[in-house]
Amino acid sequence: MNQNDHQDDFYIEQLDRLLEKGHPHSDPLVNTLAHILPQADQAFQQELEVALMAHLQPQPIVNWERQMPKVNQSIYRALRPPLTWTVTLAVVALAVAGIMLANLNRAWLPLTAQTPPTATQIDQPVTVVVATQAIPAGTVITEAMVSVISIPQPDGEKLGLMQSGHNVFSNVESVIGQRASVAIRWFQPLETNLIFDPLSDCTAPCVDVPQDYQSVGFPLQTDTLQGLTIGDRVDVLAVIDGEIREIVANVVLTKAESGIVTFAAPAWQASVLAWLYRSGAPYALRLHTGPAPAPLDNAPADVVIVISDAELLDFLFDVIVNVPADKGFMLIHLPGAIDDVPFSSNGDTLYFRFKRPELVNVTDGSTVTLRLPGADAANLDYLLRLRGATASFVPAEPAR
Amino acid sequence: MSELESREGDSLIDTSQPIPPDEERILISQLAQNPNAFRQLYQHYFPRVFAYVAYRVGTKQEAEDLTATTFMKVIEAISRFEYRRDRSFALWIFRIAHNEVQQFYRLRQRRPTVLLDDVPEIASVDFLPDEAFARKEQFVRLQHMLATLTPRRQEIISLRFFAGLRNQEIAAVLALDERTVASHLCRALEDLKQLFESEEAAYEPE
Repeated sequence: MNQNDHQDDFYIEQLDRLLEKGHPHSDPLVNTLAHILPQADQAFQQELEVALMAHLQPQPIVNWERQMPKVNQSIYRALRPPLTWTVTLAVVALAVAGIMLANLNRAWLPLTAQTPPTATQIDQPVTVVVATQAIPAGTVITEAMVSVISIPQPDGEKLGLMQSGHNVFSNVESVIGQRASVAIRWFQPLETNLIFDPLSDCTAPCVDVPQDYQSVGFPLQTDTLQGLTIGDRVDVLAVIDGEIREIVANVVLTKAESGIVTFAAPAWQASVLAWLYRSGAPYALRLHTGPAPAPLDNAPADVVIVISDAELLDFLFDVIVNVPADKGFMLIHLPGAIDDVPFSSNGDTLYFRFKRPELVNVTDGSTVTLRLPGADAANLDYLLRLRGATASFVPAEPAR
Repeated sequence: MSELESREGDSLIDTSQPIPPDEERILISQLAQNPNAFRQLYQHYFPRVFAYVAYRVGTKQEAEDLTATTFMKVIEAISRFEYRRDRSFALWIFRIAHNEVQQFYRLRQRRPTVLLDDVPEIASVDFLPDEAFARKEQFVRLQHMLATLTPRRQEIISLRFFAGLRNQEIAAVLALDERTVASHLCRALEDLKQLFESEEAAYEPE
């Protein structure tokens, strides 16, 4: 064993202590490698688990051969069976189709409305309709977008499908032709509050969703609307950090029926509302009475940003501002309309993409002055001052 | 070390602690009769497989694709798996994941450019929203640095740090001698350190 081997042994021993016992290594780079660990979205991990567990169980009705769009296909691609399995699945599907035909005349009942399972039924799988692709809010649901799968009961419980208030569809006929009232994620079980029937839509008072707005359905007792009427512009108030805060302002109340109210809102507001829904924070509505925001002077204005490596900005770039979703309610104070700024969200973070700002100058290698239309400049400046907001520079998207 | 230095007090995310061998053997023996046994194994190995694959391919979407494919192949082949010695299940899973990554690069030929938006979240025990961005930047930088190593050294670093395999186990996955693995690991870390220091020096103010 030579000198190098001895050094290696010492190095490896230190490494083992770091990785297995958490003792810091003498080399900071090694410590960093051990700490920067990518993690999957919890939703993805859970969905894959459910899909794998469903695959381990006998599959009563699964139509994996449907055409799927490109997005969100990881699990679908992995689960798509080889051709040799297709025959087996077809036989199973035919058998189950027979059972379904026999039950066709039975009215659909939400799972939670059915008789609670008895001890002998406790291990019976839960049959649910799931989206086989991402379905944008407002889309009419077609047969190709949904499928029925059988989920082991523990998984159903894990996904909250067995809890009171979760009315999950169990056959596709009940959802085909209806419209998604919110954006539905791939593999998400379809619940009554996610869809509405466009034919019966206007049996309840309703208004059209403004162009470029999204619909967001929320559970709320309609008798608590307290004088609000459909078509009103309302503010949504929520209790956050123990305080009542105005979380989004000036959204349109488009529908209210059966304990569900539906708002129409620009994408970023819809995302904040979706976060509110998931957070379970109590909320209330009030009529929007604030003055209409004065139009901003849209003459170009400058914004100063401090970043590291600013000298590298020698390309056409966009600025992406990441705002934690739980700070979304601060967006009501935006100085200008932000609807034209491309927006996306991963649930926890709201992303605003300011396209191709003009680079005015860079000083001290890190202080960057950007020039944008006045409203965008004011909004960018405002967003960057929010706690937790960060900015990144990415190559510009092609101009449209 | 500034940017890449991890903060004092950070706890290591536990990806390396194995399920006790006896427990793992029992779970594996129950796989045919008890799907929950698979669930426990999945929950234990999922974070490690995802972290390993994410470092090898870079983007969240592709990491999800390969992780899903890996576990699907595990399910398809699980009836043929034989428990021969402690941690052989881990070796088997990571051999499948390793093959998927190899296959990915055979089809892809070259490494894609990774944008911050496409990067998975980075695990942290004391996660603060304003740190997420910095952690993603660190991930991209580390990933770029790893890409400068030879494929074998990339694989060894990824299996040791992110999959949590020990040198002996890496040797089994890659069909190498344990001493060779240790040597590659040390040389790879030296190379990374040099690369990092030269990058830092290039950006130091004059």
